[in-house]
Amino acid sequence: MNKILIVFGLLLISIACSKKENFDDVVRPDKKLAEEIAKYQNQLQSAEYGWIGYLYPGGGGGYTFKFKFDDKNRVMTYADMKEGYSKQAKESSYRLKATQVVSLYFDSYTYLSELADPDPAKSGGETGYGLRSDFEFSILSASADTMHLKGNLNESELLLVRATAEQGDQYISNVYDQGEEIAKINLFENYYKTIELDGKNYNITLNTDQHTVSFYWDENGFKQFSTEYASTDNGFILREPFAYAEGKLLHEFTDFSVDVTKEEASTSIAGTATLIQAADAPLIVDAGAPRRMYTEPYEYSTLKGFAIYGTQDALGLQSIPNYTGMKYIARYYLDADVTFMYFSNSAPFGPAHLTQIDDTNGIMRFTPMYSNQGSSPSQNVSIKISQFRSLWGDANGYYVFQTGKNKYDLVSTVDPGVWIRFN
Amino acid sequence: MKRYTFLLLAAILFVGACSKDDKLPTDPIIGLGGDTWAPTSIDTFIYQNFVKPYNIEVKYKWDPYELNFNRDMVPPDESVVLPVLNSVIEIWRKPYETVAGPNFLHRFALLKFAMIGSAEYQSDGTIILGNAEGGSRINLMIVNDFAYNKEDQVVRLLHTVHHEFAHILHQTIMYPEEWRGISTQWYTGTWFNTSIEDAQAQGMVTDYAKAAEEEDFVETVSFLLIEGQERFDQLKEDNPDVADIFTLKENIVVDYYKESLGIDFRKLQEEVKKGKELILAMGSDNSN
Repeated sequence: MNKILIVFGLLLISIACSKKENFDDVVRPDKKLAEEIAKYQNQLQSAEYGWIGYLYPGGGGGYTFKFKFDDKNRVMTYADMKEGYSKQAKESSYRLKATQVVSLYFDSYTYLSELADPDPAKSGGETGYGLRSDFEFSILSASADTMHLKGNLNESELLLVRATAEQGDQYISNVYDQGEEIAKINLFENYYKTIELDGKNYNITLNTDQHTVSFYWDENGFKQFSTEYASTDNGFILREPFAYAEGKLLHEFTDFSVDVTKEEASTSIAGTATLIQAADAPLIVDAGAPRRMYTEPYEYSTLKGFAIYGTQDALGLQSIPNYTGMKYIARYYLDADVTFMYFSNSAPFGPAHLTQIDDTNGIMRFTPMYSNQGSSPSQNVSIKISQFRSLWGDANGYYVFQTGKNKYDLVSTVDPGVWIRFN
Repeated sequence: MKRYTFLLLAAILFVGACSKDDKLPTDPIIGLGGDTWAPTSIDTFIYQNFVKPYNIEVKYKWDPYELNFNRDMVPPDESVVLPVLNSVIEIWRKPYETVAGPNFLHRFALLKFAMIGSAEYQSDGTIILGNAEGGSRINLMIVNDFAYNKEDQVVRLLHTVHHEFAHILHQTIMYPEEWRGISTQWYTGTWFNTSIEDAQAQGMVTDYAKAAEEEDFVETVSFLLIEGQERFDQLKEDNPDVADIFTLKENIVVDYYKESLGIDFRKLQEEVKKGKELILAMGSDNSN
């Protein structure tokens, strides 16, 4: 018995390693990786005029960049985030790294990093998170002129498009100016705007603070499409195309210009001249939006407060010394919601109220309750808060339109010229 | 006998069975030995001043695997890298070289500085301003706010460096036994619930000194060096009840440096002060 086992064991040993595999023909992973990296490196640095980058951070918004990569791990960046950044390039470093997917790292601080900075004083975003943007990107796919990348931490989306000869060093400066042009659409007397696509009317809203575009229409009830946009030098491109008709996709608005006096914006969509026109009533109201906005555990903020008849920040909030913004916070107290004004040097101050939601008509009302909470830092602030409080507490209430994730516009139900944008 | 035959046979079979002659791959392994890039003047500076003389690595380019990778942080701006390193040289390295001789830092070596542009924000709302691991590597945080003329930033960064280096010292030669028991009653894991003022009223130089006995020791060393003797004397004046505790701690530190390391601590304090003044003066020359 014992002998049989031993013989059996010997047999096993003798055949166990008798494979003859030939590894000569197998390409090893390191070789493949090295080839991939070399390929991307070559692609990045070979673009004579650099790359136009459209960045959609995980936290929302859309930004346009221009990058010029060289063969020494250096990259020049322009950005449309600020006027100065659009004119003055910043040099920083980059490298391609073989992580699980080959990644492009912007590995020293540049304009792009600012969006991801966890210090709110730098990014203007949330403390500890910034705008939830990225500077390490996995390269998901690449064709000769286009690269799709995804942020490794916050899953931002970065689209790189090879720049043309016309998109020179002044290109991002033009993009910045175009961003200013788009923002003029906020100066129309009334909130509502319409656009005709393929013979059908849509309401269109451009949230120029957060770079989102939204379409609303009636199709057996309320329908909506929202996406981020990034500016180009003569319009803007949509992150996700809008399928407005069978086989018709809206990718980009070109030749976009706003005429404030005529209250219209002219643009071109796939070569067809199109007008965005002012309207004094919505095509349809989003009846579900008030409850969605209210139930989301999110602190909605607004910097400019009310727009009235085309005047942004009609109450002049931004002229208050040390003012940092307002926030609408549902369920702040056990029995009340609040809309607070915030200051860099004193405690928040503002009205407490009950939020009433009319689910049938899609109306939100803020019924004043209690006196203002906190103490007013100055007489000037007290006046502005009481102006705000009387507008805000209007018994007619507000229609609510969603312009993106946790972004809502509120428009007076009786006066389409009175609205407020929460981001 | 039979058993030996079997064993011999087995051995032969075993050897023969695995005698493949596969070639080893010749492709280089990606990233083996760390990332590489075209060196700039910053890299040359680091090589000349840190790698070559002391074998200290300085990481300033982004590497998520050096950090808490699920937090939002940003890389340093290249413009602050040299100012930060100059400060480390003038306020930490040169004083030790001058007072303890050129070989001292070879005996008690740090391995790595890693620079991070921002702070690390914790989910509980606190932020990490700088930390170190295993007494061998120091994370320098929020370097993007650094400038020669910002005294608070210079002190904050160099406090971390002196703190961690003091750890290395006492981990090699333990501080005197008398240190035990001076402030033992105040040590707590929840040191952050105490304000700096309260901690000082209890006889510790900072709130973090309450974390543990050895933290108390290195915070005292670091405070005496970078915040300086004048601030320390001020502490004694402001907290007369515990002035004798501060004096006792100060004497133990001075003795430890003398007896265990052969360093004149008073001279070291002077040199650190000189270095600090030099760095702050560089800020007034050019409004960096």
